[in-house]
Amino acid sequence: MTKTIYLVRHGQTFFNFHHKVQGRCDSPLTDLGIRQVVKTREYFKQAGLKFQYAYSSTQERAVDTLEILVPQMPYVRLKDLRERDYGIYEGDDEYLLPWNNGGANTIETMEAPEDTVVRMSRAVSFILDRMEDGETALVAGHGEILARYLRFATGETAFPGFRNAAYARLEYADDNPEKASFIETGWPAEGLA
Amino acid sequence: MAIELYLVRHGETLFNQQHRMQGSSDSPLTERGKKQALAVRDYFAQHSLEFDHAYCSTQERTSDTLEIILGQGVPYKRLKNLKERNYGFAEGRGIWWYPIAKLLQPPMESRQAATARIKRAMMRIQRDAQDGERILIVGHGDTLSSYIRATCQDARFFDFNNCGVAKLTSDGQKVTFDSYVWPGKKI
Repeated sequence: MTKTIYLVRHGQTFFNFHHKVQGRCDSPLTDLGIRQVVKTREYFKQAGLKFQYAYSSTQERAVDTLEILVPQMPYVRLKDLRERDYGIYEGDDEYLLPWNNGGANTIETMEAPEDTVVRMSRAVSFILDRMEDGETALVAGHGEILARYLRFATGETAFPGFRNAAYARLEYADDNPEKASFIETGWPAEGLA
Repeated sequence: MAIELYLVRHGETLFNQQHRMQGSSDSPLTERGKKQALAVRDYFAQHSLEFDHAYCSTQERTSDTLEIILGQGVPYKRLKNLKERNYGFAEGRGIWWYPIAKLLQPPMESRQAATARIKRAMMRIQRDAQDGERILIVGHGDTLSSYIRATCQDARFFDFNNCGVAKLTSDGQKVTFDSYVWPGKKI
């Protein structure tokens, strides 16, 4: 038997809309962001999905997303699920990021990309430990850390990334956070403007 | 009937340090901010102050501050109405944007709306408290200050520093301002 985890990225936020670097900093969901998450909730409902566990990062955009996806369901906030720390670039315009200017993909004050994968694996291990076979957990999180973890754990190096309120379904045959099967990804909110 | 309310502003954050407007947006506590919160923890310990209930806003800088003050594992409630005022266009931008931002989109939350919001949160907190209880509320500079000015007549109060602590007393009807201290002043 397997354990299933659905990873969902938060809906669009003000900083997403204004193309500000948003890692450890946070901003509220926009109206569009809220509607995107509602679309994902409707998709889950149509698919007849039931979640036994709900997790979110400690950042408000993920918590707000989770509260829309599974209203009234008790949830746990994990610090390990937070987005990558972009250091001094937090809150600045995205075009200033070094990788948008032909520079390296990391500088000293940023969290190393490998560390985000270590953190996420730790969180997934925590989540798997508390699940029984056959159960499904919903995890609300952030674009870069979710994508890096997914590529690492499933081997799907061509995975394109998470749009706002997009989801991915992963399955675990044994309690190893570093070995997941990639089942599918979707963006129910595609086409919303 | 008497309830003691300890209002604490969160510790210094990255945006505070960079002089950016930080209302509905959020950024992590700096090392200094964490030390400021530890100073509040020490202050409460030195004065043997223990809390029957603890609240903070849904923004991470207040829950992080509260978790340092009370320690891990102590239960607390997060309330959306304790959030900071939304500065609209100015969010995340330099503080000099504040006056111009009032005219731009997305709209800034008015001081009146933010004050009404925090009054609702504070009324709910007091309604849920029993006589003689002591409550910790970790919140934000603008909204906590507005609450004090709106409800406590003659409050000798100016402004909240990061991790400043204001003590209020409520008799169920009226709230009075007792004192303000800043345990983290020298940090």
